[in-house]
Amino acid sequence: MGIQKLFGGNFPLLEKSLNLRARRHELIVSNIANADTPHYKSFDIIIEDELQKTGNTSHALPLETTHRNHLRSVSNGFDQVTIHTKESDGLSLRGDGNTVDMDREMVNLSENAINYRAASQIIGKMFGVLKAAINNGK
Amino acid sequence: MSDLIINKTVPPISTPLADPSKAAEPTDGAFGKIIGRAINDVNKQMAEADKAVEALTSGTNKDIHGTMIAMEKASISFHLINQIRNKIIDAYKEVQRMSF
Repeated sequence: MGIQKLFGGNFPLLEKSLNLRARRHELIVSNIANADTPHYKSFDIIIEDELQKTGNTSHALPLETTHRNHLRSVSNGFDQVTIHTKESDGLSLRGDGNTVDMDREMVNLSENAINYRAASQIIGKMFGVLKAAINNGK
Repeated sequence: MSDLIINKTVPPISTPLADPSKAAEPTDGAFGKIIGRAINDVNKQMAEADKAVEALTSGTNKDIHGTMIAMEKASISFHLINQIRNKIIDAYKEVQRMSF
């Protein structure tokens, strides 16, 4: 068993999720900051879509390395998760072309914060179980 | 040839001295089986928690508290089985140190 398998399983998924949620937080905050900018279009990342797209690659067949000169694939499937931003289809509520809907941004902000906290607690717990296994349960 | 039999009254060694009907039931690995089953249960619980975490993180499931409870259960089960293992090893060492 390689040492990289120690942090296999759900660790890459959670890391990627935390990265994306941190980015999404910045994005929502920038939407809120631009709530009064004329012609500003609010936008968003749909994190779940990105993670589901690549989430199943961990079950894909790995590339065989049958010769020592073959390059080993080091990506874990989640490296390819890229940030796609999407202009939200909010209606312009005012005459100045600004599409920031403050209520929706607030809902997105707190939803994102809750999910971020959940993911960080989960990954903390997973590290705790690993540590317990290494330290003989102490 | 019958002279070679030294003492007919001594029972053969193979027969147990105790009442054969009261002989202990075959316990080959009964304790091991219990421990093995417990370890399997813990493993299953951890796999379930992993599945719940994956579903929550990728957004197919919104059940945050269910995932947290599953994780905590798996974690506590793991710690318990780890302590049981430590106790078993301690007991083994204790027996090993015994002098007769």
